[in-house]
Amino acid sequence: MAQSQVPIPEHKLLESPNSRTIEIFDWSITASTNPISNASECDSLQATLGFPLPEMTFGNNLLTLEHKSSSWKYSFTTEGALKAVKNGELGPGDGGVKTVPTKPYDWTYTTTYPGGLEPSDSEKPSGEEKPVESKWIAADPEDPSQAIPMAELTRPDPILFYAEIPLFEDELHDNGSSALLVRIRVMPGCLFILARFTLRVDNVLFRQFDTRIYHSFSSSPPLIVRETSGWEAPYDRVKRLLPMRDDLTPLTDPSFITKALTEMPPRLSQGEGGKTGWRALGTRREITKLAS
Amino acid sequence: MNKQMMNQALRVIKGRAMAPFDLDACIAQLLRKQLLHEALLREICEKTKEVLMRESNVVHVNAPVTVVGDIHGQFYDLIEIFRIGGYAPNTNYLFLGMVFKQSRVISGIDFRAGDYVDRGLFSVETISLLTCLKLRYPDRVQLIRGNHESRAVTQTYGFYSECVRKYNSSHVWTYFTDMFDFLTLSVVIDNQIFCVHGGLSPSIHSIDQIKVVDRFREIPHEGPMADLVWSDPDPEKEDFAISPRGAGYTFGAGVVHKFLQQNQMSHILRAHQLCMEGYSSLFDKHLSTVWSAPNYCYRCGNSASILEVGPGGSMYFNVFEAAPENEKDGPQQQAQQNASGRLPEYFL
Repeated sequence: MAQSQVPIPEHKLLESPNSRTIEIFDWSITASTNPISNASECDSLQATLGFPLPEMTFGNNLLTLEHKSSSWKYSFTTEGALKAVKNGELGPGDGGVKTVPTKPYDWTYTTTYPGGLEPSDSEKPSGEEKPVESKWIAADPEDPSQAIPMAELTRPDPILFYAEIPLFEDELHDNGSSALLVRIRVMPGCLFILARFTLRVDNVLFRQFDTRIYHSFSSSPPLIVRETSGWEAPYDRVKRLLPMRDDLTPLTDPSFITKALTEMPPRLSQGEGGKTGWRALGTRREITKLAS
Repeated sequence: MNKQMMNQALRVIKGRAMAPFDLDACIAQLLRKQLLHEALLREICEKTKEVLMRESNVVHVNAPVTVVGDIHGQFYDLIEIFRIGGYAPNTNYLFLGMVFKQSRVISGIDFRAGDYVDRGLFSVETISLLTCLKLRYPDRVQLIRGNHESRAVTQTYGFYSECVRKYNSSHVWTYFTDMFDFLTLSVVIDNQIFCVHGGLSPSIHSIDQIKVVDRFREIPHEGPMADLVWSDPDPEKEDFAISPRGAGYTFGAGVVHKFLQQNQMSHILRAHQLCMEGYSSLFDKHLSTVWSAPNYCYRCGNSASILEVGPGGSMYFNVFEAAPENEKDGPQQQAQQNASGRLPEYFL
């Protein structure tokens, strides 16, 4: 592949069997990928959450970004993602997929978790200051520096650091699939994260929730752009797009689902969706500025 | 010609008509991970159906027997099982379900759409091998139907497309899924251990009620047959409850104890649920789950086990890890590359 002539900034890679770190500019970024949680870890997480865990819970996986000079620390954790799953009776906007009501929690594990500050506010000892400038504010739609530059991200610059971190997966008792996968790539000029939740409920609907995080190393003061998007479509609407009618395998492929949902007219996939009234449909963009 | 001779002659003719095939050679070929011819598989599936048709919904066997849980088309790990547990017929085997669910292999590498199907998926080889072993040693190899041995599930989870890719038509998929309709639903070891893929059913109190289920069909959406292949234990419960997902049941301690007492048995053995340790025990060790797909979907990092049941009711979980061949010839190779950053992707 022809790579553009981009100077490679100084950086350091640290590696251990289950964890990798890159130190670049003012950042330290760590990805940990481990086996699924064992029985005792599952028991204690289940006790914390109060509902049955996904079949595959990667409780020890995480992605952490640390900006050294501002001590801004942002993470994607399995516990954080599952805490954002509705526990209790589902109400309007929760996008509940109807079945016989039993245990009151969202059995589809739908999460709109966009990552979070570390340690979270509730975990902090009282009296401790919040990290500076941790607030997300709506991005200015007119300001291109507050958007995610797709042209830059499509450019085949060298990837200095790459990781895929599954946080949880469940096959909904073979009634579909629910999964949250976080990916990161660090390029000479920027870092980019995509955390994607994908849900298939057979014969009912498809749902996707994306969180994208972008930071240009040259922004000053350091600026983080965060874009979240929710999509939905009825199952049959996506099934119609299969290349071969009898082969349903593409319906288990998140990239096929993404393509189907994002290429549909937005009034469908981000408007009426799967007719569940899910509040997360649509796209919003926010920014946060860090102290340099 | 007297009647006896006539019958003998007839048997010879029938034998020829059945297109003689060398099962031992088929097994050897499959152990080398080479596919059998489509026409041969049709014959093998037909003959296997005849064997299965004669089996009761509850097959009784004696220890020693080695019990295998879900394998999920991980061919090399099945070979690993034979390596550590012994080959048939020297070891008696009971498989609590045979199949294949490979969506997970795909979902972590979603950006390579169109490519994933060619990597390390060997469900056809795995299922062909198990079928040949059943046909060759019908009394020493038992296959129980699991929830994945159905047309709907195999269509969604890759087995259908794997058959089409390897044989250029869906015929082989049809032979296998038609055969699945004949698989038995449960096995009882030494009148003591009840073995099933999923679990218990609220409409089944005694073993005799299983025997009268009409099993020669696609797995229905509800009823006792669906429950046996779908249900899960719930250690926090006493009784049956509808699963939170609205399909199938969960069953608690009271149900297990009552079932064992009523049928004068000591243990329930099932598969169907992934666990990091490769097995788990519940309800004062009256129920065990055995899981036999190590590093499930080539990225869970879990252990697997087979359960060796000895004479006198001894039970030993033989725990094992993923076979080394997966690293050279499986999606694991790709998954590892991703995890360690050697195969980065320009996702957007």
